[in-house]
Amino acid sequence: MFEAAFEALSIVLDPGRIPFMFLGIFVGLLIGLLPGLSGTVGMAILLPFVYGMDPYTGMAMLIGMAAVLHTGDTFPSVLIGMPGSSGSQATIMDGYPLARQGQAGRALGAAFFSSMIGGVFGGIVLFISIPLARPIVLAFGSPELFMLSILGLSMVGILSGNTPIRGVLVGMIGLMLGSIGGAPAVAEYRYTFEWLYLFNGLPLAVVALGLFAFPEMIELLAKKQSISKTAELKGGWVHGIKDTITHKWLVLKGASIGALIGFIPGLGGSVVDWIAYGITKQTSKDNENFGKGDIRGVIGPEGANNAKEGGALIPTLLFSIPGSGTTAILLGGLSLLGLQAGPRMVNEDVSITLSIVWTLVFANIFGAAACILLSKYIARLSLIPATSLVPFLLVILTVASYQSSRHFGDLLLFIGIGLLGLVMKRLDWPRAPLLIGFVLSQATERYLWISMERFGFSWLLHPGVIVLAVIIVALLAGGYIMKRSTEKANPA
Amino acid sequence: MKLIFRKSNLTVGLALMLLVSIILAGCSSESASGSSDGPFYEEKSIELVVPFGTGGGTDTFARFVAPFLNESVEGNPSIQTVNVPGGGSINGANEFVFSREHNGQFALVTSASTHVPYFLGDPAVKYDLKEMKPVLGLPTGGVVYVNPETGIESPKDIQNPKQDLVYAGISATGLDLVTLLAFEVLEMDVEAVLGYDGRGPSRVAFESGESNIDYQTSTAFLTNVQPLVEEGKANPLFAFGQLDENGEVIRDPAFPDLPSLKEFYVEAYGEEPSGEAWEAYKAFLGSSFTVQKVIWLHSDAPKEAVTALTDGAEKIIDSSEFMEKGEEVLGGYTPYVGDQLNKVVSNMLDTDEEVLNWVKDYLEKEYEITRYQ
Repeated sequence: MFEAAFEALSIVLDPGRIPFMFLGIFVGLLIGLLPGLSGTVGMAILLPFVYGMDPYTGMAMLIGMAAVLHTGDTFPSVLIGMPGSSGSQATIMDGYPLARQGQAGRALGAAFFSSMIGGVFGGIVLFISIPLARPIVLAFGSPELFMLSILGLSMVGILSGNTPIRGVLVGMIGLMLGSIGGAPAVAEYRYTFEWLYLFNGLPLAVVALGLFAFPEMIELLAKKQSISKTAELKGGWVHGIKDTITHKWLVLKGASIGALIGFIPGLGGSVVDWIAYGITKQTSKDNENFGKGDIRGVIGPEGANNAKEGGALIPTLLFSIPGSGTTAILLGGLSLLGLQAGPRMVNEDVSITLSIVWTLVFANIFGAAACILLSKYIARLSLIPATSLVPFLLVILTVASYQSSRHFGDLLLFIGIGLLGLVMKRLDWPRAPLLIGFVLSQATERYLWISMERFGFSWLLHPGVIVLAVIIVALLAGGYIMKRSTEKANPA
Repeated sequence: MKLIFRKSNLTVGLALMLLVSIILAGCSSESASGSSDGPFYEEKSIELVVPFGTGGGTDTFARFVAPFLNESVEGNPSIQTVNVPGGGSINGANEFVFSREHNGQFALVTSASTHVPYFLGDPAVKYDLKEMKPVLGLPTGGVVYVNPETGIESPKDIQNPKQDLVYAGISATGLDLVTLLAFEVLEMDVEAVLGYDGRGPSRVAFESGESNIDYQTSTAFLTNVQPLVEEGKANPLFAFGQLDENGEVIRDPAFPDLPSLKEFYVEAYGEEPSGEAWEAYKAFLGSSFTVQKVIWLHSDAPKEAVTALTDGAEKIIDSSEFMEKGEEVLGGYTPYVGDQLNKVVSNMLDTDEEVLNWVKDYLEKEYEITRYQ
């Protein structure tokens, strides 16, 4: 195995292939940098060029793109409070408040460094799990996947601060929005009013942008100020890296969560960072500062969302089950390169898989390094007065929304959800639960339906289900108890 | 401060420009007009409308064929693949008919997911496949296999399995319909659990024991199920087979050693299959597998365009490079072109109204699907 790994290393470092990996990294960072564009767009841009390349070169380019996407997408999340892609929403929770306090450089430094560690960790997990992947993936049947969705949904309470009831209500609205479109199990369409645009459901990118970016733009305009309330940028990236080293276990915790959930097919990558954020918050001491600019709230999810890519490649390559939109297109790229995902990827074609591992590692290191170097300049975005910044953003966001399905419905939806988001922000209702409900809606329904159809009620007694149920209860109760004890300790 | 402001604006501006150029590159579809005496496609372009997202099977097929079309079609038109996803491909097909010019410069790439709702009369379908002219058709196949623990080894065993048969499928109105109709033809008692996220997840369900009878399309069977067969964890029963030019079910050329459903039935019951379920099976086998992917022009496109593309498609099939490079994309099948294509497509389009009504009733009775009534 190790011999093969070094052979793959020499393939990856072939001078003829390196430029393509860097091309991929460049596109990935750029797509990440532009708010709202996600990995699917990056893949769609690169895919046409793949045809005719040798498999190693083609994969180096595609994986280079996918690997650094969640590094670059931290910029908009932290600097302007808008999701850089669908995988970087949780970073907003604490990264943006830090930027508003003038600590954008610190938040970015911490985010990139944890992204780098997380991404390399994900690559290592992919390498180690090559022989173990099969039994682990097979251990997650539909009932276990349902419980994982519930684990994701249980984050709703954790993410709604002091107003859990509001959080639950908003989460339910998210679940309902997610049920628009084709039902997962029967040929029925719900709330579509025979409008074809709604048949595929609401596009995630539009919902996320509307919910987080639209209200932020309006508020910035209304207050006529720059994002950073202070004119100077304190705390550079060195400070951020130091923070990350102080919280090294947090990075690894985030990375493990990311790799594990990415590993399990069927849940979709978009929820990984929320779960990582929720667990980070729930297992940290003195967590009342989360959501107001706690650096730990940046480190946890950033470690997770890069590690996820390595994990998500396991079901993609071994079972040809795409774990996300990006990996779905990657599968198409594979067959254009004359490869077919399946057990072959760890037998005859193992050198391809190993070259993917190396590409992941290199791309994460280079991508994060490039971002750290650029952060000094890009962080100044937060000093631009709103009246100059918002028009640019408005154009980018509109184009990004329209990119989702190139239908005018995207624009209507962007404004509609945007207004909803604005009202929620003004009334101080938590918005993250809506997104979690929306993302998990399909998976929750699908796996509950299948579990009931297949097993009746007996699935409740599956060992995996019981283990996950215990984890969920422990997380919820643990948070409650911890909060009570801190309240007792500091009677305010 | 001022300097900072400019620099940042520059960054945003550059990013914006790049974005715009990316989008434009994605959407551009020039329609240059050529001279009337040269080849029709001289200095013209063809837009391949793919009603699915990037990277799916149909998109991959279109992107694979595009450079070959450019080479073989007289006049060497430049070919662009444009994805119009949504509505399970209904969206893009409707758009092809109503908002693309019928001038031979636009072609549609469909798959079974486009054909099936058309036959079932889905209210959202506004396109008519009879108003289109096929240029190239690609068949695929599928194999049904069981877990050996079911005790099914030969056709005789299907009525008395040792375990209750459970099938993991996606939706009764997709490709699964053919499998479900095959079970109906064989009078097998199979519980279908639908709602899986794709054929990959349903195969994982088979491997983890959630289901014990499953099917995979040809390529997926060869890469992902064949290893299971070799380990003794799966038993192939039959291949769906192909419809020939006369509408008869023949063996799948990719699986010459596996019986078709027809032969399997004969071995199980000692007579040829017949009846409504069998007719329905044949109809949907045709539209879902025998011509699984089709490239169409509008039927009122200029004659020269149709001839040029048809000839070009015939040339492609003869090129050994096409078949070699396309092993994964084509799954080992030779695409249909010319007269043969016209025959299989018109067989598919001539499906009997009564058969379709029977299928609609079957879907309502068995799966409570009332959308097509």
